[in-house]
Amino acid sequence: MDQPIQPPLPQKSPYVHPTFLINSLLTILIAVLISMYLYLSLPGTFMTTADRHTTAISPTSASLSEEEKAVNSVIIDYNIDSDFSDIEKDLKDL
Amino acid sequence: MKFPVLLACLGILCTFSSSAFAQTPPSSTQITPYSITPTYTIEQDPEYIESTKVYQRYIQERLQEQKQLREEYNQKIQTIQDPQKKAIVERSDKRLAAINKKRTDEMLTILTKLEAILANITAETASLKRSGIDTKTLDTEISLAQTRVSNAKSAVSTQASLDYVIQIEDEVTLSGKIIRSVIALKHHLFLTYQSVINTKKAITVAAQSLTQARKVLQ
Repeated sequence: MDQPIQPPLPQKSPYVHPTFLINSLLTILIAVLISMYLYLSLPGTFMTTADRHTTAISPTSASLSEEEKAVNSVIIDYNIDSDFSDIEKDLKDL
Repeated sequence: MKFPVLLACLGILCTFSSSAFAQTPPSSTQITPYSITPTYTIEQDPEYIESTKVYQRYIQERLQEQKQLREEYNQKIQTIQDPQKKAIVERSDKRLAAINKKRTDEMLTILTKLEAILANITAETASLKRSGIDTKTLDTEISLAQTRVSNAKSAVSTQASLDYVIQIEDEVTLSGKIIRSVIALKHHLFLTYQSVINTKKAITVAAQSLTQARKVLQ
């Protein structure tokens, strides 16, 4: 007995409950807002202790005192290799 | 809607807990400024202390024998037959002395500037002390910086007095002898620069603490 060929079942369209969708969007929105609030209002919230220290001593910071600026302006050029270039040239002739 | 509300509560909790860590000046009259003084300095390191002693002993020996080495050099330079080689040795000898003088003069200039800044910091600290701020930490930092200035000045002065004599043996080994003096000078200048850099670091820390102390006063 030949069985009748069944037509393929119609595929279910993906259904998302509106409450679930709204919940997800609100969650993301609130997370972003809290992160922005923390980032903007509390500098240092996302920093480690080391970062805070680095920020505090950053020579580019605009909040440097006169003393800090004075110390930063003292440049120590300890690259001495170039001083010996004349001697090194002479050594080739020896 | 429970999850977003929970998240919002968590956010608020985080905000308050972060605020709890924020620096707020204590209410007491004796205000302790924020301090970045390291609890452990290089001067306390036993290896550093030992290596410093060894280096100082070596420098003392070098200072004692350099006069004799210079006399030997003056005699042996005359024995070099090749005029070109002789000229190179003489030129290198003068150049080594010139580099040492130039670099030690530079270091002394830097130390003079740093000393003036430190004097300013010391004066400002005294002023803050009169305003009722506890400057104990700052005083310690200033003391460390002063010690380093003193040590660095001494190191630079010793370095300036060193003579990098080329120890001539024969014409074949001249190149090696010059290189030996070059390496010694480079190494000693590097070590002397380290003392200047350490001084600057100590003064930087003192300057930063002074800034923090002023902020507490405001």
